[in-house]
Amino acid sequence: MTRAVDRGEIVAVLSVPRKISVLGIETSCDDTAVAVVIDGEVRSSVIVTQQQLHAEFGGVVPELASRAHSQAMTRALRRVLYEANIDPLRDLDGVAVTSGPGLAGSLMVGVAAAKACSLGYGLPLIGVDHMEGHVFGSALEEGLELPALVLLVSGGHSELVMVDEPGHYRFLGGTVDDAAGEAFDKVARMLGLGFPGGPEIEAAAQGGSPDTVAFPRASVASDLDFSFSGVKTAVLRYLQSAPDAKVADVAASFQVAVVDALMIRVKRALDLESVASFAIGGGVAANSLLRERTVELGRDLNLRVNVPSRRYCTDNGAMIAAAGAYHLERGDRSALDLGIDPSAELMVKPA
Amino acid sequence: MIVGTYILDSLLDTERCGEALGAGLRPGDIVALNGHLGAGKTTFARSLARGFGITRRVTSPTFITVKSYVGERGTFIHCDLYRVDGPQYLRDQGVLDEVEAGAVMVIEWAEKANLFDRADPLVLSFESTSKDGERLVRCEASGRWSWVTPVFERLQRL
Repeated sequence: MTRAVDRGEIVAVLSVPRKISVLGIETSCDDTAVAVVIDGEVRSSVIVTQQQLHAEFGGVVPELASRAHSQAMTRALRRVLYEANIDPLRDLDGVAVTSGPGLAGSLMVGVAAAKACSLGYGLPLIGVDHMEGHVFGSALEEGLELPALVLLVSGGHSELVMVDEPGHYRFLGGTVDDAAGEAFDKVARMLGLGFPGGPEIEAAAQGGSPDTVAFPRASVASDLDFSFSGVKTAVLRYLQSAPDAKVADVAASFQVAVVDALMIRVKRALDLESVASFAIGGGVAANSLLRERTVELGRDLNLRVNVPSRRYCTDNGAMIAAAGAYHLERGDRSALDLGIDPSAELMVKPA
Repeated sequence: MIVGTYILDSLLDTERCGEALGAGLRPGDIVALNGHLGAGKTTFARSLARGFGITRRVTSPTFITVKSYVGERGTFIHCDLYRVDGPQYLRDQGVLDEVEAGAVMVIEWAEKANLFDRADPLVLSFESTSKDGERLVRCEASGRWSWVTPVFERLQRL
């Protein structure tokens, strides 16, 4: 079925500034990620993941995460500069770092490293919001035509955001309880699968039937809000009632329920807003089913969609460098006493 | 010492209970929530916050472990200790200082983290039953918390 969507006129294209070169540092969770973006292109990107470290605990252990960031940071920075083959004193225009939201101890490591680079290389410093970073992640490979609807889904966030103009973010809806990625992690644990839950459930779902159990698509009061606590509880109840259930079937049924729930809200939002494009970002945007559905949606509605490469969906330094480049070009700067803000919010959210 | 086990019939009852208890919280109070995944801890914490007068959206703290909200009656801190060593972690994060300064705190997975001696928390343990939406809540606390008993008893009669 083809339906005409109210295509907004393109007011701007969000892309990485061409004339600014930035070192980006991201440590909000369990990836030590650094990247160099030169003249709008990702020149090098290094991600030291801590997944194995946290796997046995079924989730990120904050104390272990910050220690591992400290251990990895110097090597990661040295490597990313080496791979970029640049002289930071001559070729860079600034240092960007995630200052929030995220785990306090982890954020601190990145911010400290960024300050050191800023001082050592004599470069301006800019603190970046992690979620704004994910918006730029969806614009790294192809410019994002604005106004754009962006679905940001990760372990800590699930939000529908309108980017009306560069730097103007409007909150349309978000989770009222658990984030989508958190639901993947928790259900993976119930199913005896590993961490992180997203890829584990996706792999387990391969051999299963998504029609086995009709888990709720979670309808909550406000039309554009998500709720993933209910589906988590529904999986638990199902497993109690059907202890012999096949993991593959439950995983496939759960995955399709979450993706359906996300896409139902996306379609509602597209009915309400006049947009030029739709994009996805955040770790859950690496999920194959969500990516397929997004491409299908674009085809059905004749709407431009940005589906970034998986390496730019999960946490990475390039998206932070890109967001930093945008701010530096505007003249924004952070002082050297830049602090962290673990519960930073890019947009005002209603109760 | 107060001990009791109560039935909350539905999600609505759980929310009513949380709001009533949240309204009665005083500076420095700590509420410890126990129960397995999906037992309703976050839902309950959210209604506690609402009862306490927090108007902002309260979402799961699992990812960043500690979230705090400021309302007219003070600061409301919501923690998830599933993967952390409780007292030391909360001390390191500066959360205990805030509670000592008058913030109220609700802690999920408190049993994983042996709370500190001086905490004197209201301990609520949630369990789901075979009936959809129904929860059993076991309540355990010092005599200081005796005001919560009538809140639960009133809900039993609804």
